[in-house]
Amino acid sequence: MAEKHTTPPSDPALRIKAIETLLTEKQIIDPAVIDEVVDIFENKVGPRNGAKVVARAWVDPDYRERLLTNSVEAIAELGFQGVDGEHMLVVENTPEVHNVMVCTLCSCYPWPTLGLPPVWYKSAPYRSRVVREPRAVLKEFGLVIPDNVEVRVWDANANTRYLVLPMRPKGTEGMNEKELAELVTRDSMIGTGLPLQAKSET
Amino acid sequence: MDCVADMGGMHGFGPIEIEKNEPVFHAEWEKRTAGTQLAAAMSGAWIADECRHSMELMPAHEYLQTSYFEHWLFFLERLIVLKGLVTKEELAAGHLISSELNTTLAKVPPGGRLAEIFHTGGSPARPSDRPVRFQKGQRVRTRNIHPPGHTRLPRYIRNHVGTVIDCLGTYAFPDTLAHGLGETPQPTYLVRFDGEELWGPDCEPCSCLTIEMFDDYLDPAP
Repeated sequence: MAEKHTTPPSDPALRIKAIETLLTEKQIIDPAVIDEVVDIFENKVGPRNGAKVVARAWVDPDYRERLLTNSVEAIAELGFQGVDGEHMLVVENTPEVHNVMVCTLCSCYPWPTLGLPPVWYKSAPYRSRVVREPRAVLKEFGLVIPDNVEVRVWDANANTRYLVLPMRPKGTEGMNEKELAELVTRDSMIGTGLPLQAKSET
Repeated sequence: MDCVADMGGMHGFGPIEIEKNEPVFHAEWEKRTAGTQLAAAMSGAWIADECRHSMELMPAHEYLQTSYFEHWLFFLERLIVLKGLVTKEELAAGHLISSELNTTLAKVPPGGRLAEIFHTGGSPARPSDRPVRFQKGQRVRTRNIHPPGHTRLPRYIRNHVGTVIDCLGTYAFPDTLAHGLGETPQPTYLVRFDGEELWGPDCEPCSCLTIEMFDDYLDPAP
């Protein structure tokens, strides 16, 4: 079959400029509103929110219980809720179970607690492979899960968005909630990483 | 539809490329694309299922060669014409040709309301008369169906036996929502599948996969 002649797609910057101009001229969208959305995703939501949820669960057993049984309400207690966080399920890592999440069909992700996903989360290699060979994928992130630990993959294909509750690192008994939140990484809440270790006092 | 966006389980995409200290956006056009799409979506211009289906309609080779925000650009261009917000000619020209300003779309209210709309969110939970057919612990088989339109039943999970681990309530159905065919609310279930059930005897040890299944995707399994 002969290749069809196609015109190369134009620069994405020009394409979005045209759309923005049209919708502004139509008085459908105010450009200031676009700035507001960008501000939400650059400054209001992101993994620092999720880290606060995790740290609270580490220091408060009652909160941890609420978080695992009614994730949406427990997360809202800290003020995080909204679009793509309407139906949340927090899944807990234990010495026997390691959880990791993906959206194989697109890029569904818990926005109020983690913000927008990183490029690799939306990429073909991650979406295709983590369901079939999660251990091999986690190894590429530097995470080796022993064979006797069950790996649970969660495909966010529908309404539910997931958040991994990682295990609290050893040696953090003396740390307060705020200090603990600093140890919680984005990847540890996706399941492709672990929290940072406590800095040893020397 | 059986398209390239449904990539769970495929081979051949290579290693994961991880960027250290990745910014939320990599370029100004990504910000404008995300901002325009989300402002329009939050004002009710379209629903997520329509966006997702629009991305599935991208030619496979284009889908694989473009970034995620270029996928968003693709569906933005499709939906603003499909919804009658602008004409194809206007999109090509980059400016208005018809002077008609009337639109059924509610204008996004300026002045700080976006954060409130984001915070409120919008759940697709809907009441339904349909019975909850499966209970926790019950074995179910996913249907071997290949809908030509939008579906949230990935190929890799079809025609496999899993166990219901929770009943989640009743929700609008993306397979009809994406095509403007109504909400068709129905129960959904969290269903867990053993790795070996999905990937055969050579799969990695001790793994399982959990996914949310609409009632229309399932049959009872012995």
